[in-house]
Amino acid sequence: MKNDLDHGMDSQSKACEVSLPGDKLARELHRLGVRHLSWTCNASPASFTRISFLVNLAESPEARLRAALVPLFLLRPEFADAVPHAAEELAGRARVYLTCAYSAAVALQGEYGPRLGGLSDCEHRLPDYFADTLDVSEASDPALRLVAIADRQARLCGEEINWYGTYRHAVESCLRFMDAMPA
Amino acid sequence: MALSKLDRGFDSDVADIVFLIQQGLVSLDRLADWVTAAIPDAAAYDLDPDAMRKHLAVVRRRIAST
Repeated sequence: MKNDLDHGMDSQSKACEVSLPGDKLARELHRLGVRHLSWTCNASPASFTRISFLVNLAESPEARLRAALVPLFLLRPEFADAVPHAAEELAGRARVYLTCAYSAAVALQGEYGPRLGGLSDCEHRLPDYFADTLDVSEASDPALRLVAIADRQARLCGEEINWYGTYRHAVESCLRFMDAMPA
Repeated sequence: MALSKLDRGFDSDVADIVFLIQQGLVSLDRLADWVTAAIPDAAAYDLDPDAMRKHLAVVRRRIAST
């Protein structure tokens, strides 16, 4: 899997399902509790699968939707089961986005999980699927782990941007909205 | 605004700058000039010259790839 990440950056995603529009993804995120990206939500559960939803978020051309993967996993740890399958559906940059966003949520679950409500007990801890794949298993401290994930994403994407801040900002934005607009 | 986004450098910040350039609201050359002009006083405004340069390079690559 590590080789897939390292060498797949220029390839297109393997996923072949129809792309879902950004506003539909944002409304579904809202329904699931990640409400800072849309004022409206889908009235009923979406017809697409969790795997398809994760694939579409990771492939989204909108940075805000890709980043929303991090608070989604903290709010909705039940999505963790779909992550390995979604990763298999993806290649290249989208796969890196998904694996790094999920791993960032794993690193942040102790800090933010209880505040977001989805990870309030040990039963719902997010499994650490990609530590070896991303080569971040040596960083046991969550803060150092997050730095290592951000560094790994920068190298895999070839984009030296502030991934560390990107992960934290997504969670903080979600939290600020939850505090200001309780459900 | 563009300079502060370039300094912070979140994925969404870079996307916003690319959008501004694609909409013709600022040019890449103008942005590069602003960075160059801001560097001598960067510390006074709590800006990180290295970060701005790195993030500007990412903006250039994203613009080139679209």
